[in-house]
Amino acid sequence: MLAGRRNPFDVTKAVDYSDGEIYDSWVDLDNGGFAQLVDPTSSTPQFLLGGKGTGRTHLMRWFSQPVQRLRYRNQPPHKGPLAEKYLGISLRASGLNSNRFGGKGVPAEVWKDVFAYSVDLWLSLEALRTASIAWCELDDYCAQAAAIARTIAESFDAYPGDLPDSLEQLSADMRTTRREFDLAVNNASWQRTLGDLTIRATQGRLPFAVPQAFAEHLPAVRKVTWLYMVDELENLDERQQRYIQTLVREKERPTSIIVGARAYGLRTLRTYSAGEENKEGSEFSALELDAHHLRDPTAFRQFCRRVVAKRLLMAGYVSGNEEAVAAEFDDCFVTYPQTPLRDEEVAFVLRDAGERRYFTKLRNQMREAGIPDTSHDAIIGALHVPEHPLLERLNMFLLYQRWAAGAQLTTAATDIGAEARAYLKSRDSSSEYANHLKRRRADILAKLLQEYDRRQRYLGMDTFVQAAAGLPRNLLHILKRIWIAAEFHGEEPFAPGAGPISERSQRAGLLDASEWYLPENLPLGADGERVEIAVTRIGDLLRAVYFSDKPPEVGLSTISVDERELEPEGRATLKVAAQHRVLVHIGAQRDKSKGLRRSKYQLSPMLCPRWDLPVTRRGALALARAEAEALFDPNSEHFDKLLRDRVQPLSAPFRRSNETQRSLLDT
Amino acid sequence: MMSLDYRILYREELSGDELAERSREWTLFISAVNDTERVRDIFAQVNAASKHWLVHDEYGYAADELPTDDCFRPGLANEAEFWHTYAQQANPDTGGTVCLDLTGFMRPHVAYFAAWMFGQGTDRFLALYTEPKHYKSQESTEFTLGTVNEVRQIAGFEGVHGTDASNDLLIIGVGFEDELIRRAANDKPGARKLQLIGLPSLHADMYQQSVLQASQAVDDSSPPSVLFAPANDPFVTAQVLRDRVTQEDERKPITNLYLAALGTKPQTLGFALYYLTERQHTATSMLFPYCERYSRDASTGTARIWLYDVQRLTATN
Repeated sequence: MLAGRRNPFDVTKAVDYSDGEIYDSWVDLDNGGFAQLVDPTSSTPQFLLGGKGTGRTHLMRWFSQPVQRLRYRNQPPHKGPLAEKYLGISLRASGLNSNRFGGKGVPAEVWKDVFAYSVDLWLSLEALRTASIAWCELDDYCAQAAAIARTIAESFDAYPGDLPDSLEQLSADMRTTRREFDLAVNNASWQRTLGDLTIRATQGRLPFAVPQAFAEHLPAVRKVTWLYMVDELENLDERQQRYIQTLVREKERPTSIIVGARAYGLRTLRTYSAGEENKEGSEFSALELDAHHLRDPTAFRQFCRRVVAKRLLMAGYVSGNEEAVAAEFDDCFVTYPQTPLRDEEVAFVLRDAGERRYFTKLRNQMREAGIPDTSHDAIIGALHVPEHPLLERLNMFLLYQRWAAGAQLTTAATDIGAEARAYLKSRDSSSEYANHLKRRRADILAKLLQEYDRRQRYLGMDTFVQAAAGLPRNLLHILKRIWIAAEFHGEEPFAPGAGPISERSQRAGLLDASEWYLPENLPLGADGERVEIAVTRIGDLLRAVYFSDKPPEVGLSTISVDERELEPEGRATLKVAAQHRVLVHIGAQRDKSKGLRRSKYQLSPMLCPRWDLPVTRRGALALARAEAEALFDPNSEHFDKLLRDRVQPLSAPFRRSNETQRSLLDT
Repeated sequence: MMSLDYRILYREELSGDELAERSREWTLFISAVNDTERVRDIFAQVNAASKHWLVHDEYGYAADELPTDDCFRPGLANEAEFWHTYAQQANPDTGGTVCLDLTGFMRPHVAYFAAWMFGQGTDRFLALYTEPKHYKSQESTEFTLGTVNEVRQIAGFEGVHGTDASNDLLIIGVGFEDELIRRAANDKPGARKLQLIGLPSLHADMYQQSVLQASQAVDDSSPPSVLFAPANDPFVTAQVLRDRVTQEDERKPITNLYLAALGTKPQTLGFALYYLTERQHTATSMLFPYCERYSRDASTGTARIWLYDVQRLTATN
């Protein structure tokens, strides 16, 4: 074992990276890269949205001035912004500590103005700071600095003190003003007043005045877009976001804005500009990064592989180029051969002594149904394919299907056995039996694992990428935990020649990440409680149906629901759960037979292992109105009954009457 | 560098008899109503000239469950409004020797009390804390009921922050509640995290319990960075904070400092004392994850009684 190797997946958040590490760890998307999605030179404001860990912060920092500078190492600091035609000014809204701006006996209208002025100072100070780094080596910078400072100062309605004769003096004056503001805001806790605080500039003037003044006096920078990148918008409440929306609407050249927020964090599009609402396509463009990744899983898979390769290369654990390293990942994890019958993967069934457990269960179910013991051997014997447990278990599933449809069991078993043998002989992939096998293979395998008291298998890089659900950070969390588990088990993850990471380490890592995910992503307050209850019930319901004898759909990890039928609270819970990425909104589809439009929500693949569910998405469990209401009403006491009612018809002997049961054996 | 040592401040362990005797000198004793023996018994033993009960609505008491005499209910206000409302309701004499029993108060209210005292020119007050024999459910004890509603700066502990966030630091005084720790950590995702753990803890098992909770809640990239301060000593807590922040600042200037006191009440007092003495009006804030409801009775028994002589210190060169 290579003791003391640092976990290359330790850093899961871009904020924990230095600028140099942001630069070094950068990985682009295929097909034009991120520049195709986000244009830092665009004059149209852009909203970057998505779940937690979507890569938004990494992307915004990639556009920031310090990283621009790294892209043009050993050159003057203005080289990057001039060549790339934008200057990236990066800020995090959490730095405003926005909760201060409310209450304390001060009227809301006053807070609105105070907050706006604080934001203006915040943005313009950072623009000044960034500009002074980026442009300080330009030829006419020193000569024009005083003029720039005066022009900016003149944009104040009442500049605090004498007009500055340098940019340093201007910055110092503005910092003093901001400090006075902060102190007054803080002291209002006990003074119950903001005192004689003076707002010295028209709202929204300063953040645009700074770039304009530089452009006026420095011809070299006139074609440069000054890009304010305000991340973590979710830290602002609705009233505060209205001001940011106002800046988006009222922005003036050469300024543009990128606003980053978690999906739940965009609380309004309304502005203070006569109450107008910003509209996508008109005032701004928007991109949901994780939704984009989910729409193009192949590109996301490739992207993720390169991200992981980059981590290993940066850690010095592998050598070569990203593509070559990424291509080797399949050998780094224990997986099973993807043969049609998965014989190696289900070998545990062959090692188990005595009658196959699923046949014993079938016997009990037939006994419960009143089917005479004398028939059992014939039925089970017809289903036997002893050397291929997967087929045997598929046969049993097909029997359940026909049993539920009222078929005569002996005949049905005989037919199914014949179909299985025909398939084995011909391997005809076009046969109906082959089609069943193809569709149900993963589910049958899951069922076998469950019946033999084994944990579900989630193995291999592609499985982990699927579990990540479009959020690269999720993948890093999974791999971080797999690494820890592997080292604990004495393995040498990703070490050349050390062998693949074991099944138990992969499973332990993924399950640990799955356990971490839910509390990490629940919303604050009562919403969090409602979402937790709803998601837990969805997981319980899906698991019960998925592992029933005759699940109605394959690969169940999704529900479909007619949201119009839900109470407003239920609709709100669904929306919040999706915004916080504990559910994934797949879209809507029309159920023509019932004239309904049903929305589909997948349980986050990160959570699926908690319920032994597949991380891939295929079928959806359609919820009736009463079921949906019971799921989403946290006070509902009907959920347990709902669960029983849902699963009972899917479980042999399928709740048929005695007469019907007897008729199953009539010949 | 300025010299300052919080450890010169005096703390002592009292017996019940000593408490009864010593408290005769006190002008005012303030305690917060809850169901624990360590709050009710102590209140009964104290012989201060005035004794006030304060009611946190977060405990959910009905009017008929409350003491009838000298009981004040400021309502569900923030910590600043809470104390100012109390001051209006009770017109307390804070000119003499005031003793605050930390034990039943919410942590933000403990912090603000110190800010209030110092803010009105009272440079010295007493604080009392009674250790429990045990918390009822060990490391799973929930002092808060329900989930966190918001994470915000404690009133009076809101700093003057800069735009540069390249080396923000969050120091979390960890206790038993992983939800609180997680929420505080998530509120400043860009900040590097340090965990301050109570060691020596109030009881031998409590150290492991704190570490267990913290490990589940702080999912930080770097290896966990921890510092230790006795769970029952606000002055050493303040000193440990001062030493570590100085050390971090010398290594690389801290851009914004956030402090979240989620451990014991004495440690909360230590955080507040450090803030009020050295970090006021700087890029430093104290954060707290607020809940609507708190448990009235999370501990059993009464162990040691501690009395702290809290004073505003002045740094010397």
